[in-house]
Amino acid sequence: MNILNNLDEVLENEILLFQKIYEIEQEKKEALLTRDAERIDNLSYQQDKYVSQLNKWEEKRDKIQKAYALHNFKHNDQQNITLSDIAKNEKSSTGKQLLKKGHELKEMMLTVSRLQDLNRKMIKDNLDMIGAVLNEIKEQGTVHMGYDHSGKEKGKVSNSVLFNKTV
Amino acid sequence: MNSTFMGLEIGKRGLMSHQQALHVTGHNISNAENKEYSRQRVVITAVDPLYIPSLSRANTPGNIGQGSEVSIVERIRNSFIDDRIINELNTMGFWKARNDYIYQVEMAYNEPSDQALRSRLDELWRSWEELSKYPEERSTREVVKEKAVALSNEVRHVYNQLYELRLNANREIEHRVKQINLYAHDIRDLNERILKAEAVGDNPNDLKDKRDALIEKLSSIVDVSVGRSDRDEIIVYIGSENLVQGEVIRPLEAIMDTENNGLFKVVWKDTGTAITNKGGELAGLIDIRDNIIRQNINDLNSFALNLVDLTNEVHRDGFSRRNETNIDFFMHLTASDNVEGNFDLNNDGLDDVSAVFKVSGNNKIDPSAAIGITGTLTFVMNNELESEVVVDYNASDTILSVIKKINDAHLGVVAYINHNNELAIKATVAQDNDKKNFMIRHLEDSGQFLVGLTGVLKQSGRQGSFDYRRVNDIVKLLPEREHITLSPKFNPASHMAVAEGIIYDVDKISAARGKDVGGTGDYNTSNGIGDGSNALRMAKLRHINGMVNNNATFNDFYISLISRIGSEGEEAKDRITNQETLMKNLKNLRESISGINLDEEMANMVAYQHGYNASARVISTMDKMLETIIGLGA
Repeated sequence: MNILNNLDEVLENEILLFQKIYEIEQEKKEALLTRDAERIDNLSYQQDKYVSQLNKWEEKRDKIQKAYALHNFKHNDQQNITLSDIAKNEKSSTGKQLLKKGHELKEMMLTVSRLQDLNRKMIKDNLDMIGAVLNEIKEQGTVHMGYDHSGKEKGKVSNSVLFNKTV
Repeated sequence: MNSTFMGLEIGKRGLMSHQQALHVTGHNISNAENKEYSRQRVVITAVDPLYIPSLSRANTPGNIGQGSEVSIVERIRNSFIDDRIINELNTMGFWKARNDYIYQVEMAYNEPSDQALRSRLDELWRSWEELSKYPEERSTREVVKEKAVALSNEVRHVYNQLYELRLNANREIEHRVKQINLYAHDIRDLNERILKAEAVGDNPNDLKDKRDALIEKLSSIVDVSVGRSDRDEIIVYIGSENLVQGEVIRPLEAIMDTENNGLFKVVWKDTGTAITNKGGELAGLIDIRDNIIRQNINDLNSFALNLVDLTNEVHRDGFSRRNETNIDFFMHLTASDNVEGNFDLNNDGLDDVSAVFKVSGNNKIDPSAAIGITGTLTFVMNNELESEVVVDYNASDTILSVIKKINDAHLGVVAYINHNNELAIKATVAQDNDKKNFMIRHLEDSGQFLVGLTGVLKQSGRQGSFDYRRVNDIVKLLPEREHITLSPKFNPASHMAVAEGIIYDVDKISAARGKDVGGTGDYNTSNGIGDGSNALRMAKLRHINGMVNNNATFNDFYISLISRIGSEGEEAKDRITNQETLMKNLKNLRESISGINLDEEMANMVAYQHGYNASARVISTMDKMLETIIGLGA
């Protein structure tokens, strides 16, 4: 039962970490829409910490499952024991609870994965767009250097097609 | 020599080019709120100067400029962003269609609610428990009947809702095909007009905007891509085939598919081949109709059939208030209209299959004892290929371990030990064709497991095998007809009902199990009016894994059905939210290129206005000079 309690604790913590990662990805999404690169950088740094914590919990989960397999599945290949196998083996309510937590973790992971996929696409679209605009300026536009009314240097894009000047 | 009036001509050209530039600026400003509009930009260039190098050119210093002209009115648009938007609109369309229908499927189940199926099921189990305590009371029998009727009504109601939804999705598919053809015609018309305009040297920017807007509308319905490599011809593809190529259109058609219950299939009208479409509302609707709703209908059918079958199995063994036995509690309508189970599957007027749903072996068995025999069971997969699959058994196996091997193979049959300790084998939902649902396809044993040990087949080997593709093959099964259940009429959930005999006479409810006279293990004698043990066995069906192929109780199976549709609904909503964000980002990027910036347009307008004024000044100055020349000698 101690093994099962430990497994339950690991799953609980993993779910919480994924929730935090999800919240960060939501903020990243907003930052991408407003093109706030500095904010994205800060968020990624925060996210790294959660990901390394997650790795540790995953290692612990693997050890617990192997220990369980050693005691309970003597004839099977213990490398392939899953949470479902443990839940099926435990006919009590503990097994159902573990399975429920496992499903919750899986749902959480899928939701985070979808959001990460969205953010990846938005980053790629923005980078591709920046590349296209830079090429366009290189090929068609020019930059005229001059001075503003206070005597400071100020450049102005001229003759560009894509670069909508005052945007 | 220069013309006297050349200066006037230069001024006039300046006036006209700046005037045209002002018109374009005005056009941009008036379309500032038009989301489909791409900003236009005038390119003013110098007219070819004088004089062209030749022997007959005038002997004056050159080149002399001839003023300005508008060489082109550019349309500022980035096709990379357009193609990305088309791609993502397609994905959005798919998930929107899916979300709309999943929501309606959830409404059909109406969970959680007191009137919903789950509550009705719980009430039925409780009513059997009550009956087991008071089997002599008519009132408790009436309650069992009422609760069973309520459950059956709810199952039929949910089935009808799902069936209607499927038909709605089918109708919408036809409607979408008409929409696609309409858009394709409009794009073709625009292609023709654009081609004509370009042929005379014009730039039909507004027509191109309209065409791009139509392509975007089309992309949310079906998976399209655009070929832009040929300047003279825009090609709109569905998959790898042309829908519109320049002025040529290949329309689609929705035809009834006889392989899919007469539901619509989308094909190319000219060739009749099916289109390749993986996205858009059309793919979403087809997926909903043929996968999600179909799966829900089949799960409901499976639920209804297994509940009916298991209840009848236990009920038939019991005794009524008047000591009658072998009575069905629920109605079981069969696909076949004869006791041999022969059935006309292909509707050609001749019986061509033996439609058997379940067979219970004759022999009582000890599930955990070693079987002591060796052999091979042969089954046929319940998919289009119908390939043979073998399951070996050996002497050290137990009945339970062989059952586990059969069930883990997902062959289209499941095995279990029934309440009489006999081996029962029953068919599941078909993977290939709904008409073959709940039909055992093939049973064969090279040894004695299904023959001598469990009493399912009469004979071993190929000659003793049961195969549904042979008529009258029910004779290969050993048990009496009362232990063989024929395949139900299509969609058992649509006709789930309490047996008429029970409806009109609740005394027929077999609450008593009877007694085993002589210790043979066969409870074949009535035990009096106070015996409620069969009703108790009915109540205990709640806790057994009645949904054998899912290894779940009836309640758990139904809960998993509801939570699956719930998860699918959550996923669809999530995807739509993400797509909306992606579209917002892409449209912002497009606006940053093609959108109208009023500040910029105002600045341009001021510039062009000054240019116009300066050109007018040139004209008035040339006019004064001409007056001087004309006045000479006056």
